[in-house]
Amino acid sequence: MLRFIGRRLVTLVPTLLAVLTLVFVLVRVVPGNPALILLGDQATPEAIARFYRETGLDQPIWHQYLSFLGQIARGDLGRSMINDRPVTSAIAEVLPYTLELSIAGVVVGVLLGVPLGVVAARSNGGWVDWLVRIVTLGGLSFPAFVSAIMMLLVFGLWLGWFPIISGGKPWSDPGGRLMSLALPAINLGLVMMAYVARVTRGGMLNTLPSDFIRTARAKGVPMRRIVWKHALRNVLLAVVTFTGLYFSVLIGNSVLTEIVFNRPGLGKLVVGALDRRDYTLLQGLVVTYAVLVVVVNTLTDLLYGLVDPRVKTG
Amino acid sequence: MSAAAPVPAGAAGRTYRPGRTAILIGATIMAAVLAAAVLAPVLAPHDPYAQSIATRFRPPSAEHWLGTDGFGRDTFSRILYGLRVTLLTAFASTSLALVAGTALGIMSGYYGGTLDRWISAANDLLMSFPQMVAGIIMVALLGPGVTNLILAIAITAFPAFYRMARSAALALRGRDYIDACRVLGYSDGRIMLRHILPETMDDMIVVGTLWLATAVRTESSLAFIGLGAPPPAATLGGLVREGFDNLLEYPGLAIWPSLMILLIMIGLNLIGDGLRDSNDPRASA
Amino acid sequence: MSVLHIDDLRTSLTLNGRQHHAVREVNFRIEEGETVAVVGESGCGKSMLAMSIMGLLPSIAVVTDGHVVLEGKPIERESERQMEAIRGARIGMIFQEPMTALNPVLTVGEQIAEPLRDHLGLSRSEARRRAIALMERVRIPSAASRYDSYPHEFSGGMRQRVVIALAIACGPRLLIADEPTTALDVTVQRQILDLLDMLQDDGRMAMMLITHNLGIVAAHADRVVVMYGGDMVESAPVRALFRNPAHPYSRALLASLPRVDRDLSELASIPGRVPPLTRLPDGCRFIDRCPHAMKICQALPPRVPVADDAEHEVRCWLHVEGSGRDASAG
Repeated sequence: MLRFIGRRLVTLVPTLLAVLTLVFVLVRVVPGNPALILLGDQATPEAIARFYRETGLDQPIWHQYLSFLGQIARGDLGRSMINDRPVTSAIAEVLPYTLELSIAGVVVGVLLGVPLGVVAARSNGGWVDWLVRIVTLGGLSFPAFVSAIMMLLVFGLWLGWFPIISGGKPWSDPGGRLMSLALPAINLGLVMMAYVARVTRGGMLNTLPSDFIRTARAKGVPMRRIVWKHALRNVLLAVVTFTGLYFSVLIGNSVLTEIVFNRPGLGKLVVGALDRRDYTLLQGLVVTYAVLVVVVNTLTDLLYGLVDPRVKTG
Repeated sequence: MSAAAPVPAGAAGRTYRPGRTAILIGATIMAAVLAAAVLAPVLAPHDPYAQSIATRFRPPSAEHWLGTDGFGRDTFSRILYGLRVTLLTAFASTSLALVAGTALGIMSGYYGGTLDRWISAANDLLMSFPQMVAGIIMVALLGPGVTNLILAIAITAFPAFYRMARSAALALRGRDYIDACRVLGYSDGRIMLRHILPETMDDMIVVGTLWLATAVRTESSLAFIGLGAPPPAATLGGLVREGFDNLLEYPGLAIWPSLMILLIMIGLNLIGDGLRDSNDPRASA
Repeated sequence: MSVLHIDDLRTSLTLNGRQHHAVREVNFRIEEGETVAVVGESGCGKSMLAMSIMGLLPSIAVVTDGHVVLEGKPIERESERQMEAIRGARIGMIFQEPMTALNPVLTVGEQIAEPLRDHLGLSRSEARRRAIALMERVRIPSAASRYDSYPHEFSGGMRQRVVIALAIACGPRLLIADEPTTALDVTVQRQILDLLDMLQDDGRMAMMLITHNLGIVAAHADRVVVMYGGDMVESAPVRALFRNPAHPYSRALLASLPRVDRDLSELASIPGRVPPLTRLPDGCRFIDRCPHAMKICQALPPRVPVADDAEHEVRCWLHVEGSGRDASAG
């Protein structure tokens, strides 16, 4: 198992390197002169020269590239072009909010989606199946910001069950923090639920006619346990794989959710950086997102290795 | 011999085809939405850009069916015109991705070798960014505007088409009749255009329909963040964004365009669902 | 009292609104310690018969007539819950394909221990001990250390031993073996069959051995039931059948057997093949391939005794006196 983890971690390096290189290139093909954009058209030549020196943009491109990689290796993403704050600390400050939202969203999505998919498969073609089909169609059709707005209106404003503005509360007030997490997490989870339910339903329909299910029935295992243990264990492999792939969609949805619920997090930081043309902050955020996706994909593979006994020895 | 050998797999008693109904409903919705978009200049009761201080934030009435916004503009008319921009962006970006993805995918699969390795590597890299984030970067780098928006969405949709076309070309490359074409001295271009492309087209169009829904979602999401077509142009996502600023006082301004987006998404998803069902009644994931 | 009595059993399938008899008036008994082989080509209804006994018919199939009598009690109308208590406890079953018969994500030990916990109410540790003992009994080497292994770490033959272990875990009175060796190498086949013989002798278990291999029948069965198109065409002690097959189909089966281990799938001497379920004739189902077919064969033939042995029965008009032809013809 340790060797498996080790192997998987080694393959992480080239992927990360490629992603970082792409970010480096992208930021440098921005149309327009960053100095002029930042300092304004009236900037003096001295100011521009100082800007180039400070940002390292006067160095040869490969030199810039190496120092870019070196900085990132040391966990340094530069300083904000707007307020000179280290990008790393700006991101670190809000990262926990985005992480807790994403994790809570995945939990909600899986906890709702898996049972829904199972009952749909059990009903295969019956009215429960149809009902689940309609519910999941809704889930697939709601852009995350539309569902977020509807939930904010219904549960926040009209019913008043949840605070309208969420987040920002410290964990020292766990009740408040959880209440503010609830609506955004449910929003992320409901959209994800639709996909999970469909993956689960399809997996169940493929698994239930298997020979080993017949063996389990022949030894007198009750149907309930056959479905929820024997078959579901196999289907969960597909759910794990799917969750890993879905994570990059979830991250996108978290940006929208954070904006609607006015919740601190990477999403709000991105919009702020875009508005103020803070390219260093934007670059740091893109690196963060890419690293997140790569790390989550690696974690998914590791989790898959834990769930599927065939991977370890393979 | 399995227990159910003489019986067709699955529940043979039910032979309905859910795919047909879904496609029919979806197609009806989309036909209505398309008609509304095309006929917007005829249908819209007001000029979507005409501002009027006197009619700010009017509730729905016979004059303004869905009320007016903070500039006194007619919401219903703005939605009709926003629909045009949203659909145009979605169709254009999906077509662009389809053409580019198919072309590069076929070349990649047909030639193989170094070309294939490089394009595939770049494609994998593109896929390692969250779609929304990739869209945000693209629009941020290219600058605002409908053309750039189309380009940005096309880039995020590109990998799906590329992968599909590449694997199809890869499978066809080994076929005897392609070898025969080569022996006959046909040029690579002719083989790809006349013999491989037609074989892949059916699948690509199904994938294209599915991706239209994604394109609509990406467009409206980017517009909602503020990266859509610049004002005063109305797009559905942009309208939701404008309405969102006054959500607590005038929720209708955000709700109506949201419902329109939802309608399009449901229509497209019904068609996509139906197409998938008629291909494979079992897997709907 | 017989362990199993199949009493004029009929199982019907509904396809496109029409009923078809997949099993029709099958009638035989299996006594304690006895092995009855059920033979016939693919599609003859052997497996449908097994699933009727287990109560595991697909949703479109149902037992319409007759009885499955297990130790004196009919079970064909039992509820699913009652059948769950019977399956694995009083009837064990092993299958043709050992590579797919085990759940890939559960340990083999867990899969053997499950019926022990369900039916015998053993604790986790007791079940584990018993499961390891069972693994030793089916000759799985170093059983204790392999309890926590997964199926993919076992060879086909070893997996079939695991399937056998979980089928006999609760000491069933009846073991149904559905082509247990068809998917295995010849040498492994032999080991598995010998293992089954040994286990049967230990527990005085009754065994229903479904096979299409007459060599296996000759070596391991006490009596034979020959099936064709869902009908039981002949039932006899092994010796009587091999010496004096009464039904034209049985005769053709044996005639097509130059080597004893030859499969019925290579049945060359009978032209044609088993008709599909939807096109089975109403009368004798062998009518289209039978060299002795008569007009009366369009009606379902009765079961008639064959003189050479008290337990020898055939379902054929040739053996009905006054039906137009001498019984010994052919």
